[in-house]
Amino acid sequence: MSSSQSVNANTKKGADRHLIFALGSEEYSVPLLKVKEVIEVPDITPVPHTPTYYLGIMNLRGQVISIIDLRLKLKNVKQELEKKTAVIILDFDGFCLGIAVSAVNRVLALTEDEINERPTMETTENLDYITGVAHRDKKLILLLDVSKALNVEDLNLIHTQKTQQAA
Amino acid sequence: MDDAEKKLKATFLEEASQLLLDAEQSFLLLESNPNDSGLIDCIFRLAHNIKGSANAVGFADLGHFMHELESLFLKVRNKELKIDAPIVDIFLRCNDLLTVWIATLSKDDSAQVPYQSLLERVREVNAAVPSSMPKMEVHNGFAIFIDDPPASTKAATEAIPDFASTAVLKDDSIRIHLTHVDGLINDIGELVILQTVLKQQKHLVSSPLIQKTIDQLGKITRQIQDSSMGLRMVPLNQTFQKMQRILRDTSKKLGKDVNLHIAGEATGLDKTVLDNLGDPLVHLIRNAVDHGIELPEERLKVGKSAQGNVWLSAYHQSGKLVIEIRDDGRGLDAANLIRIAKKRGVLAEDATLEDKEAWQLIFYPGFSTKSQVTDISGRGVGLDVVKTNIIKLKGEIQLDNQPGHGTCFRIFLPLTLAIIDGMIIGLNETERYVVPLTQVHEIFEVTGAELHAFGREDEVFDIRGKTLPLYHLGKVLGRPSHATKRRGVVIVSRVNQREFAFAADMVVSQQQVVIKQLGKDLKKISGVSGSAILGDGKAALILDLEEIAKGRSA
Repeated sequence: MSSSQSVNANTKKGADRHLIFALGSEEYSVPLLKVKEVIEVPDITPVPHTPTYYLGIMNLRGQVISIIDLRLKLKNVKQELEKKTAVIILDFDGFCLGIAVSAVNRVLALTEDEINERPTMETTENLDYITGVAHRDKKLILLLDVSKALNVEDLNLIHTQKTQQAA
Repeated sequence: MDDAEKKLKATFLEEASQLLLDAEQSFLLLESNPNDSGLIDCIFRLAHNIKGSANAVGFADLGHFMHELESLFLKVRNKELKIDAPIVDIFLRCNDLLTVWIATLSKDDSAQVPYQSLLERVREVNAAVPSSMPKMEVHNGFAIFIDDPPASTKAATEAIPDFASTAVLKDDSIRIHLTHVDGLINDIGELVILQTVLKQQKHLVSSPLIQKTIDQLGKITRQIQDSSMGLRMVPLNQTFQKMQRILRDTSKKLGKDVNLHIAGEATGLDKTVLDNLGDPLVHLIRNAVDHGIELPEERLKVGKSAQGNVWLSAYHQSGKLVIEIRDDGRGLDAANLIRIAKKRGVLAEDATLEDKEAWQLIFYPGFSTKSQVTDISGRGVGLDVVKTNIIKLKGEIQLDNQPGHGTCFRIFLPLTLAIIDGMIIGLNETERYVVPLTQVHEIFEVTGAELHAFGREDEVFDIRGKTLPLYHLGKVLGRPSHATKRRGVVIVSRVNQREFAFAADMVVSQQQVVIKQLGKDLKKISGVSGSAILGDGKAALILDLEEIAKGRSA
């Protein structure tokens, strides 16, 4: 274990790497370990009777996976899918899900010291999906727990997948 | 408890359930060959294995029970205990208990199973037989490494059994989790799609070598795809084995003597199909024994052998798997069936039926010829359920009957549920949907004249003097479509003998598609049964016209 620690300068002690992406003008991040890959906007097949943020299904090398427009879901911003739009494929223990984001910016190693707790706010909105905040280059990065960001239904799905795998 | 121990337990439980299946088969064989010493040795070894391992991984109760059972087997091996039906019964009951036990422990490794009463029974039998054996100790801990129990002088005088030659358990297979197989099949599916693109663009390269290579790559890709689909296939023998047990128990209960002949048990079938085949088969076997085979006296009277026969066989026929359940019993009596059907109001009083039509009555819901309800059959919940289950598996059941000589059920099943023949239909310019070909009865190209308004919102499809309810798939799915402009295609589908028409914009092509399950969040979308990847690599939804029709006509 100790020999591999000094290999990457980015891997500071206690630092986890995060993928930083943009939703509109704001920056968000997900743990890099959860990211399977980042792709261009694929051919998406719409699915009837689903919420508008549910973009549809796609073929990821033979696997049919769902894509959710995170811009619409979290920011309520209706944006066309364009060239800059990226789709991040997240892997929840074997269950994959794609999220469409405005742009993918960079990978950052954030140490625990750099991550602050999210401020408590008087709001009716459930902000549990933001697990913390970090500052970099005078910008604020919101750390995201995607499984919490999706609604309960999607969350249930991820949860049951997990328990099935454990069984 | 640490992980290593948990893993050990899990491995043990998995192995034990396999061993128990083998044991059950051996017990059943033992009944007909009570003097087969190879078989007895094999059983003894199985029991010894389970006992040792159970103690080693810390299932003391299980080890204790196995110990008692093992001493019983030892008496059988030493010929101190004669094999007869009651003894085999006890063995089978022990086997059942152990199966439940192992299954319970798999869920919760500290669970308790009520095993005392059966243990007492085993002890009683044990005590009833005088033994020259010194009482064996329950080995704790590493009993698994002790090769053989201390042999008695009597056992030692017998030839040392050659375990290698009785190794009926040898199996040239490895266990792979379905997810690995499905992952591989997915990847290969993608390979096929990429290969198709390559083939289509082949003319762009001028080098004949590259063109030839692309062709060869295509061939090998198809081959890989074929063999990968074969990976999901599992042999029928375990399922058939279970039937042997069902047959034995049923015939014992009814006082009948029935012999089961099994053939083609090595035939492979898709795992998913196989998992859903057990119940229908159990039903048909019970049915054959209960309704088909006569009591021994009756059989002798009509000049048959006292022992009845049931044949269970599997074979391939024109791309389908056929499972045949045949008996040499009394067969179906058409006149009797018609009489009962009329009495139950299934059939009109003045109806006349051909014999062949009358036989089909047994597939009617709630139809039973039994006047008495038993726990085996006769409740009238039966063959209709079998038929429904088979249809769910995209299969078909046929009936052949020779009055006085027996009945034969043939189940025709697709080799796999993972692939279906699909018709690709289009809504507007871009959207493609798959309709299972089994749901397509007829297709018509329409220009509008055949579609008529029916009430304020609905429409009907008027064809050849029939007027069918018409659903626009675009409207049903909430997607834009041209078909509302009264141009396009109409697909006629049959659901429960009723016909429904569905309008779409066009039929694109017909192809085999590999079914991909949708996530659970999408499963409840009505009218959609799954998804597939089309030849161009795009994902498409598979529609369930039956569900759409049901949802709207209710």
